[in-house]
Amino acid sequence: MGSDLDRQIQTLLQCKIITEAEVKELCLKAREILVEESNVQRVDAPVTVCGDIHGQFHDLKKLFEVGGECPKTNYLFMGDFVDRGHHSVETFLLLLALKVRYPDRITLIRGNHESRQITKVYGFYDECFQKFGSANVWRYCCEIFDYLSLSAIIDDRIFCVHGGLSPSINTIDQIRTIDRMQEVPHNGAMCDLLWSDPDPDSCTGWGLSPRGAGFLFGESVAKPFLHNNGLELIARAHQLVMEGYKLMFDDTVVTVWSAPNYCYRCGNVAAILEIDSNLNKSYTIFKDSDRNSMNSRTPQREGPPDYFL
Amino acid sequence: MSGNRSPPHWPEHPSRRVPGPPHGYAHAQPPLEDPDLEPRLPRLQRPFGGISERVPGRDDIIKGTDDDAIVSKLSAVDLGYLDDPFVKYFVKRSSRRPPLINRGSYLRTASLDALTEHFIRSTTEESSTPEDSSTSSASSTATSTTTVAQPLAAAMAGQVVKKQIVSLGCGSDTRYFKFKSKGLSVAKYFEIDFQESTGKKAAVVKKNKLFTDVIGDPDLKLGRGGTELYSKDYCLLSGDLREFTSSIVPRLKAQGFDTSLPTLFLSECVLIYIQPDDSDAIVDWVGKNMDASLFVVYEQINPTDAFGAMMLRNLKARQIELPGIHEYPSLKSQEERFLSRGWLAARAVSMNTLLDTLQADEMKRISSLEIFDELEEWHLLAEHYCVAWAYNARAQSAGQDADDRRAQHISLLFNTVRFTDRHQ
Repeated sequence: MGSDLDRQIQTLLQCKIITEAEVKELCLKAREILVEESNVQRVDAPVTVCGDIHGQFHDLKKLFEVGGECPKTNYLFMGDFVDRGHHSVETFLLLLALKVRYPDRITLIRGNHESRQITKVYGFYDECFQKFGSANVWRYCCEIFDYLSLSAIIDDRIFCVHGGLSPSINTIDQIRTIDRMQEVPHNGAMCDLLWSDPDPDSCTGWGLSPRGAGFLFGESVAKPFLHNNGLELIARAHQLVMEGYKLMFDDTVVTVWSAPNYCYRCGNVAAILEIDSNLNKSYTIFKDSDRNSMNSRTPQREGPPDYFL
Repeated sequence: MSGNRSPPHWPEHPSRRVPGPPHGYAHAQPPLEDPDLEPRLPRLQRPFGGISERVPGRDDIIKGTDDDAIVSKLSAVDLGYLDDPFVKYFVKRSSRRPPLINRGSYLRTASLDALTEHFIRSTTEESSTPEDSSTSSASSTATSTTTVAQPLAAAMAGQVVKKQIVSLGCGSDTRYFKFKSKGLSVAKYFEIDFQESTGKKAAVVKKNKLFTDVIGDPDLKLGRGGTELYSKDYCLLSGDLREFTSSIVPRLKAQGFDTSLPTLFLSECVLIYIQPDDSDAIVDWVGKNMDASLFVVYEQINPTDAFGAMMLRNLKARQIELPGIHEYPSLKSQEERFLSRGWLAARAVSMNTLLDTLQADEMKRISSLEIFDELEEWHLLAEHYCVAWAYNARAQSAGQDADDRRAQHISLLFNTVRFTDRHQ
């Protein structure tokens, strides 16, 4: 089986799909691993922390070029593997296959796009249907989404989550009590962790999110949360940052964005956050892969990015 | 426009006031002669040179942009952003667009609809746009300072004035049908596009009762090999906008186009596709030949930042060039396009501003239609599209009557656009 899995990884690394039966089996194996993980998965430094990927497969490969191959580099991906880009299927299955092959060298936590409802609007459902001729693969993947951990904590000091904080959560232990094996709810602690955003303009703590889910949290919320839980940093993703990463609130919150030229349209650079064994942090910026350019062999059906014409 | 929809309101941007006397009423005291007709600013540099490009393939690509736009519009209609029963007749294969594209299609259409509706409804009387009671005192100042001969003022004030609309590069736009089916029409609505586009449009219109009922003219005729339509109040013409003055204008006139009537010119992603010399020629001609005109432009801006540069690269990969974007790359230059040619007032705002100023209940309504998780990207995209308007009025001859008439026209045009500025 090990060799089967290695062969599947090699196939996926070429941006080619594996069979539906192989996906089903891969998902079963992944489930056995993920079900054992905590809602706040413990991760040891050194680790390289990554933000949204959104199906930009060639840029994920660029990320591995920049950050080092897995398992040589220990990775933590903070969700939003799928939707928007052209290769959500290959992207998510590659990450999942790496997870099954090297469970201690790659951590995947859930983003707000790892959801049945969102993937139906933002592309992953359609892509699965297009590439496999049925919704089965989408269904297998969505079951796995429900098993993904909600957050991670690096050496008890750095809290990693896709979106941000929740007014229902004051302590890390409270996150551990959430029953996460479900579709992302429309409100409540689990929803907030995946949907919230830091608000640099807020002085009052909590605000309504313009996204219609989660909350905006200000410095006056973030700093006490860190203090009360003995933490030094919240690393999160979820928001496009043109410069790849953005530090806020006296460097206590950082947004890491790992999808360069997001949606093949935004012109942004991407970043990964490398944390060494002494918890020193360094950011590496990278641009999008040349393979995204329209001159590449990108099949026409994937379509160019949308504009108003 | 349906009654329960609120048009977007445009707040005054401190740095983008319309030029002129206090309160921004550029036309409060119209000059007897029109020195404004001379350009105020030197012509801007033209990176693309002044020669019209005539690559046949390129024209086809530009014609294809209409298919893209109408599919996006139908997606917005199907999801409930827009109410328009006519759009679906122009789409062969519908497809659901991402929420951000739906939101943009909605905002673009709603903004231009709002300007069109105000133009159709506007009169020379300041109270004609009821939702703008907050501006009535300022507006009455504007009206009272004009020197209007009493009998003429009495004759014109408050009356619905005969008007025209000219849609440049109309493509599959359905605005005429949408408005007229709701009882909003003008004396004559002209649409112009390449003959391939108008041929398709004429065929759809002619064979569907829904459309011919709206036109409501038993004498509706096809012309020019089925590429044109002529009726009492609707006229679809085929032609090349690069030959506006030499070819389009004479044919407009042959169909009853009247330069003395207040006329709205609409350009939705059209001027930007032609060389600045050709688009400038249109703006020049309108400003100098129409007694009263309102020009509304919707198009891309900000080509040089990271998003803008990528936009040009991506469009180029689809073989779409935007020759006009470097000439008018900013809100300011969009306004200067008109002001430097002597237009009385101009204003340009980005799509972000338009969304910010959407009324709360309408914002709530469109937010409830779809999950919207593209906020940062929306802000980027919306910063690269603008709606600009400008108006001008000129006296056709010397003498008090002509001046009075011009003052009335200015009042009407001002009444049309003042809703875009709530803080006056």
